[in-house]
Amino acid sequence: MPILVERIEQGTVVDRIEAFAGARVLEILKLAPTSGAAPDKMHRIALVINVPSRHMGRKDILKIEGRELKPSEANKIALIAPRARLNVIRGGKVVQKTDVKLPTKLDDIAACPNPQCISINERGNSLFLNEKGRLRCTYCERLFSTYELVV
Amino acid sequence: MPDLISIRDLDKTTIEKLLQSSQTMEKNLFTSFDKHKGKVAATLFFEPSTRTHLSFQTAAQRLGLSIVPYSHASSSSAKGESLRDTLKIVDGYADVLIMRHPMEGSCRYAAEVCTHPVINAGDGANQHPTQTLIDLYTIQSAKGKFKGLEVRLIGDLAHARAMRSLVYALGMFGAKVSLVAPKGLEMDPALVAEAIEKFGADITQTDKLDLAGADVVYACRIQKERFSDPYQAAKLQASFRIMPELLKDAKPDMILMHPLPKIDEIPPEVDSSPHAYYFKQAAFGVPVRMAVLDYCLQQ
Repeated sequence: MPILVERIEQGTVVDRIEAFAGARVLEILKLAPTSGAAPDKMHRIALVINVPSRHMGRKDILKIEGRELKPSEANKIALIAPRARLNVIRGGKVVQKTDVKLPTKLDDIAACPNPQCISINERGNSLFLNEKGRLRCTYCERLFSTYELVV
Repeated sequence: MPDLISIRDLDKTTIEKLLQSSQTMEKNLFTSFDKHKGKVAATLFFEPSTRTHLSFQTAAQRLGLSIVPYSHASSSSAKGESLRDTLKIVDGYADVLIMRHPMEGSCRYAAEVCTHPVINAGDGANQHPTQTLIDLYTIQSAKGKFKGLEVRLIGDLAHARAMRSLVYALGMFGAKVSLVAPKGLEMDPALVAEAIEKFGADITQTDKLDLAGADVVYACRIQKERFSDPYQAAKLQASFRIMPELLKDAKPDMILMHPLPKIDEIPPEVDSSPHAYYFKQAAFGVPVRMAVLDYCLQQ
């Protein structure tokens, strides 16, 4: 039986998120309650998890009412949702579709997997540079696949 | 003022300038050369070091700098002070910070925290850029060029920090590199791929120890401390020794380099061979590090 989620009039639908990655997407986009904002100041959000998908088998969908995500913001989620598609909604209609792409810089999105790296031992946040789809830690200079950074 | 954190941060022109400046420093090594008199260099060595520490201190003193040595054992970091706080404090005292630390990326972090230039004297298994510059300077001094030279890197290439940066630099300068490592101790394929992709480097790999045809042979020790089985480590080390009879196959002008300390991968009888170049290589540590200090203290 299908799950019914209200249509949004104005905002963004992030479609084709890897199944069960939606909650992490909320955190990266700073839309989760952990971002510190009071619930009454936050956007109305629907997160649909593990729904059937023709392209992906299973996927998550995120609907955000009242906020249009810019592609530069949404690109941050490419690490955990590389196939995600951003649909900007105005007047209940999709006015723009953009596929996310891995940004040139990933600032504090994922921890460095190298246990000897200073970024996880003292610095407290990470910075990766995109080298043709692989990510180099600015600190320990090791190169990782996106898959290795998803924990 | 620039930091010196990684060989990846340096372009070919900057490296060439540093090598040229090293030559000037070498020529003036024993004359009064107080270019940076009145300035202070702090040496922060969180790990043991002999050659790097001493050659940096000598280089700094030959340029007229005073040295403030930091001792990890008697410092506040031994009481639990953060690296950041230690760096902030030393940055307030010195004009340049020379740092070795076991954590990879620690020197890049130090450069973010400090207002004065930071020189990486080894950050864990990551980088040791001044060693790479010394290696390049040694090859250039002996051979006068890099392009077309056959440079053979031999030993535990999986763990030797000096080799990791050197492959990148040799690729940049157009040398032909052959990597000779026992099975299981080969160089990280990502590093080889990087040198090939960025510079079109000519790199081959084998596990057969042979010196024939090489212009430069660079040996490093098998890092026994990385093995759970000491017998296996000893066996590998024995099969990768540069014995005098092996040198018979070498080109007459081949130079044999080693980052030192050498343990038993090069026996003492090789030291008197005309090929042995490693003590000269170690001595170049002073003029090259003088050039690096001068570069980092430029206005």
